[in-house]
Amino acid sequence: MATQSTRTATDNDTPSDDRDTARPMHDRDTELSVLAIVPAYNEAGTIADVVAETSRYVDKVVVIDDASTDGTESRAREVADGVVSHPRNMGVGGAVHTGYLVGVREEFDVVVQIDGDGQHDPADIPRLLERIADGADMVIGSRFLNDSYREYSLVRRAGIRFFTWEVNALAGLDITDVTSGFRAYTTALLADLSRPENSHWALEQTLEASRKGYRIVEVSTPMPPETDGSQFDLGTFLKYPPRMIKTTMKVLLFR
Amino acid sequence: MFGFSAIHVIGIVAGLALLYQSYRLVAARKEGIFEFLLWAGFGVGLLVISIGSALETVDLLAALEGGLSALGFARGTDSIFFVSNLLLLFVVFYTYVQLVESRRQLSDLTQELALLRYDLEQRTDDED
Repeated sequence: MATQSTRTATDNDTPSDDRDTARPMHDRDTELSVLAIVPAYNEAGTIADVVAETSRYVDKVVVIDDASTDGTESRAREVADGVVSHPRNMGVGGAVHTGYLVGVREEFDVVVQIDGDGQHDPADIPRLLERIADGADMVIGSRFLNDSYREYSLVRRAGIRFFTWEVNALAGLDITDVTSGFRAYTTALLADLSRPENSHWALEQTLEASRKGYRIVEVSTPMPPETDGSQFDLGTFLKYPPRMIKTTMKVLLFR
Repeated sequence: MFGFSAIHVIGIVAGLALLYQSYRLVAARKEGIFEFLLWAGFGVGLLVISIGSALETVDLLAALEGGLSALGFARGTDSIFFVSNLLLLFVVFYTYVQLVESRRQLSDLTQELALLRYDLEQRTDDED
């Protein structure tokens, strides 16, 4: 059931450089308790820096280690407030859902999701949280509201554009980057969403949230593509259409 | 009276094996009533077809052909293949549904196990 029934408008931000890195979010007057979840699979080289930087802007950072084999878990335990370690690999959809459960069960107001590969800049978190404080239920960090998307390969850009167009058409949205994993949510929304597929969770989640009437907005967040975790090649692009059809059918028929 | 050939014996043995195994599993509570009825039904069907077609006094295949021709099948053997494929399709579908459900449950258990360990660690940290 929707908790807010009239919210479908999309509220894109224009590119902005007004990052407030000097004032961590949990020191602000919003009184929102914020959990950051960092889904990670074999990110031992970057996870410590991501967690350390993210912890400046939130109340608690929990790493969801998806059965990494490179020591990600031990590196995360050195710096994170908590680590949830999957006994077997569940895919990024399973990892983020585990993080959502932590946020809901520990009764945080907001959950921020940020990749463990360093692609997302934690300094952008305050701007995501500002939109939550303004009344949004889901805030998506978009690379298409700044110039960072130009660094991506043509195939990857085309793929993201296509799937974003499809979600917009199906859900009546006007977002620019549906595949972005840099997001902030109210836990009220997360508690109302179904468990997503282990792959293509972002599409399913966005469609479902829109269908349930939640307010989805975007803010500009630069995302450089040159990280180990950024994999979107031709093979991935070719696999997307049937998976997209499956996801779309699932959302339209059963959610 | 009986005209057993090798194929009849194979059918009877397979039917009896299905009956025995399905009974053994349900008795040990390793399968449900629905699964027992499904597999026992296949076993009984195999026995009826094998024994019936071996009986010289009862021409089962001819009887099947006569009955099924009323449904539009050209030959009795066609109808047997058709019905067999339908049953197999049903079994494959049922197995697929069970497999998907098992995978979902496995994912849920994996997630809950990870969260339980996390909760335990958090409480231990709090106590320290």
